[in-house]
Amino acid sequence: MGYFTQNEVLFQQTLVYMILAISIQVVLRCGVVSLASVGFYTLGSYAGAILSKHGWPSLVIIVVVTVVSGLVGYGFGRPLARLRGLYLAMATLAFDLVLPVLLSNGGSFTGGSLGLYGIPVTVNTGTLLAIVVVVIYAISQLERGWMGRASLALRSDEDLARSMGIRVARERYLAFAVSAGLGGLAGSLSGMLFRAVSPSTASFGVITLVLAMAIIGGRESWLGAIIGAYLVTWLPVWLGFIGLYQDLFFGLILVAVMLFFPDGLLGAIQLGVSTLRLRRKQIAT
Amino acid sequence: MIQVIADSLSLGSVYVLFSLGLSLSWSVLGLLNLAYGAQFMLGAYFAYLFGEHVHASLLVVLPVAVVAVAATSVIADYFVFRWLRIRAGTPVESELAMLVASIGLAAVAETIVQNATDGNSEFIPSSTYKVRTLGFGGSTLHITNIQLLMTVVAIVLTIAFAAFVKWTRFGRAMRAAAVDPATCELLGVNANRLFSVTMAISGGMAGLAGVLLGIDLTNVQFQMGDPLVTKAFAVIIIGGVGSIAGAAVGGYLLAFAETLVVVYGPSTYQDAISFALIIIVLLVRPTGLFAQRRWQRS
Repeated sequence: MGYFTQNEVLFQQTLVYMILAISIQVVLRCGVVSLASVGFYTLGSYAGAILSKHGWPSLVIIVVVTVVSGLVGYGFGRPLARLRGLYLAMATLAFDLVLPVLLSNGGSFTGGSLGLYGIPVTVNTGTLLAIVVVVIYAISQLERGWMGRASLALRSDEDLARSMGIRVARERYLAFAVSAGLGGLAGSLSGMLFRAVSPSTASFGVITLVLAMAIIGGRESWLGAIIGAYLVTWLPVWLGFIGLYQDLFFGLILVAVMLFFPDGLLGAIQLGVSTLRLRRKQIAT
Repeated sequence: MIQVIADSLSLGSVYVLFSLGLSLSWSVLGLLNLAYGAQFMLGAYFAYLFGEHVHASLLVVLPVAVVAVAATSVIADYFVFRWLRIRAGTPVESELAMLVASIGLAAVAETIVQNATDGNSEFIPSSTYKVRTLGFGGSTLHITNIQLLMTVVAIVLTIAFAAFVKWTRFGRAMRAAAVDPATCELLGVNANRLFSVTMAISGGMAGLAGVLLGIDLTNVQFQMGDPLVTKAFAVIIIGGVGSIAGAAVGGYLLAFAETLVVVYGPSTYQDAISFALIIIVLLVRPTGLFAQRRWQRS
């Protein structure tokens, strides 16, 4: 128990990042590099902070922010749908990075460049854990169902997917909406957990961190995002002893994963398990 | 007003110098090189090291830094990016893989310099490279000689580079590889060698921009390239990916808009301009102002 209370904030951060990593993964799995959910994360954290300062109950805030983010994300999907690959990454990156400038110019409403602080803590770790479990359940259902298979087809060959009767544009909008909604959800939670929100939440550093989580863990399943979020959040703690060389290590891990485990650690584990099974079968026969 | 134009010219030259190499690797290799800012920083760090410890002149530092930073690009391509390109199934997959790997490489380079400098910003005194402020027409216009040099280099490089891509054999091969590397190979172009040379040119430009801008800013810090990378994205998007004239126009346009906002408008919004321009251009005209028919895949 002592270990847990000591590291409670880090546990909470890990859980919030898990939702955020899943939100990036949802779009990546469709073969769409959209980084917009970090922007929704930032906006969600401000919404959570401001609404909870006005005394709204936390569950209402969570539901409202998630639904509104999802709807806005769906709306965003339409004009963005014709952009591909790096162009879409660029547009969503610009959306993320314009937010800190706007938020620090927002006067007393957004607290300027310092952000807002002294926000009442209205969510506890138990609630957070329950929400993460619900999100994972919902996403795993989506993955197994129609949407999961459609997005897999979309990623490997868009024209083929279209010829198979998958409504490519609609799948994209849906992925956008889910991603934005989850981003907003993660944001509203962080706004009500950590007492302070700041415009620098939507920074280049956070974007690369979240992208790294989704990639290192593996993109094929929600489990990858969970592994990735856990590893990336705790790496600085484990690597505390090498001091300033942490980032060097982090960079090398990122490059190594891209080179040797393109499906992330989850992909590597699955590969290992299936090879072992195959070997056992060969021995048995 | 003359000062505003001169300021935007020198700021724009910085943006143009910085963006050319980044635009090149994006259009030819599909590589959005997020390590470019770190390479730029390495160039500036060379300027600091050689100026402070060897007391070399700019004529020595510039070629050394350009070659050294170009070498980092070639090494990165040989050991990392080449393999990611070969394995990826679709262009989107290879673009994402290379993007993420470049984030990792940027972290490696930045951490090395962070440790070498203890995270401080190192000072390059203006006496090291004999930087002076030149005054024109009494006091109507002030510009330093290094800013003048940057402007000249930016303009000459843009023209030389555009001519190189348009008229030489190698430039034609580069344009062809940007459209379809597989067909290019069938036609007898060694695509891997072409990509290595392209990376070398891109890295060399990062080194050049780093040396000149490091001297102009008078200090070097391990994260100094990061804000410029996002500005360069705007420059590239405005002009159209792969268009050299576009990058030049985009660079000066962005610099002019930013200078105007700082001088006459709400200066706290300066950094929003580049992002707003990216969003507007991508929504209205995704191919950029200077779209060429088959240069890019949008």
